Amino acid sequence: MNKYMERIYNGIIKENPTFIIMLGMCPTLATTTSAINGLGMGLSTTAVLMCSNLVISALRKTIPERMRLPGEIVVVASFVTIVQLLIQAYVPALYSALGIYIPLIVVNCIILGRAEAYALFNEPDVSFFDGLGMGLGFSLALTLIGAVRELLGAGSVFGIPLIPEEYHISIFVLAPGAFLVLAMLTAVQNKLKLPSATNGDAPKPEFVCSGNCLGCFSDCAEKADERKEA
Amino acid sequence: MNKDSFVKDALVLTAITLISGILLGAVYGVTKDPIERANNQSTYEAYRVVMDAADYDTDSYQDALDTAVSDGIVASENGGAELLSVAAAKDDSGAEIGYVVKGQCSGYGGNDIVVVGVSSDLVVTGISFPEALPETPGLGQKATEPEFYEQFAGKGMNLSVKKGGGAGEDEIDAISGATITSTAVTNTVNAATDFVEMYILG
Amino acid sequence: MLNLLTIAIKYSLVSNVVLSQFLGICPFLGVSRKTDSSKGMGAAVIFVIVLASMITHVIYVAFMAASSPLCKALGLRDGLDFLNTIVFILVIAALVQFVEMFLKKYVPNLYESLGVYLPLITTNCAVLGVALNNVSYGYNFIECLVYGLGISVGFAIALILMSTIREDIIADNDKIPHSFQGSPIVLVTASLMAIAFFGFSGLI
Repeated sequence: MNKYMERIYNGIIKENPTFIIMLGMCPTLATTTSAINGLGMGLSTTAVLMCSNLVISALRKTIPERMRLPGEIVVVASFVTIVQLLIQAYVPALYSALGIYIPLIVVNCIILGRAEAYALFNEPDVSFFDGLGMGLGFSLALTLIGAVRELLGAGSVFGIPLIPEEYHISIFVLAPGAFLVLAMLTAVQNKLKLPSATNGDAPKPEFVCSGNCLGCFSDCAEKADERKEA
Repeated sequence: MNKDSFVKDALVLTAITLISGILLGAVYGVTKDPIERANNQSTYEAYRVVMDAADYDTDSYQDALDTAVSDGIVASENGGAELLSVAAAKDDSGAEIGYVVKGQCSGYGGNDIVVVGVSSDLVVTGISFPEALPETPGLGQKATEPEFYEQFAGKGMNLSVKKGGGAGEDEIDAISGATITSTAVTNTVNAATDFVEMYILG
Repeated sequence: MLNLLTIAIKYSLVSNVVLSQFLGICPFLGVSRKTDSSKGMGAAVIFVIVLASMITHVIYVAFMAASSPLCKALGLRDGLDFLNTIVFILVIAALVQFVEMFLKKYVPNLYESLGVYLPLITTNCAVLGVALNNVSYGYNFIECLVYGLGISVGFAIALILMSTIREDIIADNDKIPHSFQGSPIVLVTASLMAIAFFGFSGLI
């Protein structure tokens, strides 16, 4: 397996951003009301992730340390806007389905997380493939969660009806269903002792708060509490 | 802190921002027409669904629309439904056969945009949605199913929403579990007929 | 007036930012372990969102909108809407930094209680979400203020409720089936809270 394939394998299986590192929970919960929305969101994020990883890696020696975060934000926000304009122009149906969650890709922790954890320390070519792998892993996870919610809640997958209307459980396409599906998923991971951020076996890349959104905020809050008590 | 290096840092960031800005401007320039075309296309498709006509004249009643929007009566009497655009539907000979009004009203998940066809005798000829509704799949999203939107064709003015089924004349059966969406759509339809009555025919 | 009240109630309770729009999930799950920290975080979010909502609105009206003085002077008929995301995120990041510095220097008491939560807010998607929604809903200055207040109070309500429930959950951790300890039970709780918040939908 060459180094590019290794990155893709890493993103889809070994460090899957949704199932294993549990990054980017907002879009995961919000846009998985159907398989196609999940896939659309996943692929949009993939496009941004590949480009931002590539450019941030290429610029990693040019951007001064003090301007690192603003610089990264500018790069990411530019690519997000480009993707947004392209979707609006050529896939208008997806644009109106995802709405505000497209510009909000900017604050998706996966993007800045991968930039900080990987692109800053590696060559542009592997960073690009890291973005591709992570993005595909994210797309796969969102599509799967979307398919499960769509099947249970609306009785179809990718709009193909499979279950008669009497057996639909609408709650699964509503907000509570999103939390519930994710709860079941993490419970199964705990039960099977699969590597996941939820049971403490997640691979922790070395950078601030491990790039783990959940862990990040609890770590930071705990540190904040400690600082307050001290 | 070294002042020179700070200036240099700031310059690098400015350069990155400038390049991004120029790049974005370029992409915006390229996608501007396709975006407009995509928007127009969905609007005209919606027009054709609610009132099939040879031509849609979007200019004649623009002033009436502006007056109505600044008066605010139509909005305040119909749950805050806003009017967005109006077109006169014309047949082959150029005679007006009715009006197509696009409006929006705040629903459960955001603004529901509705295109309403209104005939010259103030009967709704049909409604359609030019954009995906920002509503919950399985509930508010059911507004896009014929069972709900086909109710409007043939109805008159000042419609009200009826919960629990069995709607009479001038009433619309609410989508079960999505009264807010049903009301938003109905408000927009009422705003459209009110507007045609007061500002175009009146 | 009624319009403003509707905005406030709709976004604090009916379409709660966390429980129905899924913005700000990370701090909701991450900072809800202790009631004290959730109160601090809630207050900091209210502060930043209301401020950001007003400032981004002013910037939009002055520089970005098609009707703004800048665009008119430059002859840009379509405005600079496509730069919204990039401008707003930079403004928010700078604002958070500035607020932190300001509080540290001039209001040390407030900094003591809020300061530590401020850096966490830059990547809170609710802040950017509010700024972008202000534009797409076409709100005026007062509406932006009320909308920002509604969203952030809704966030604080959800966060504080969650943290009080979670303190009980942590105290009784042994009674929870092993697989559900940790995140799963928190997500189940969030799901039940979201169902409970459906009850508010009759309010508007």
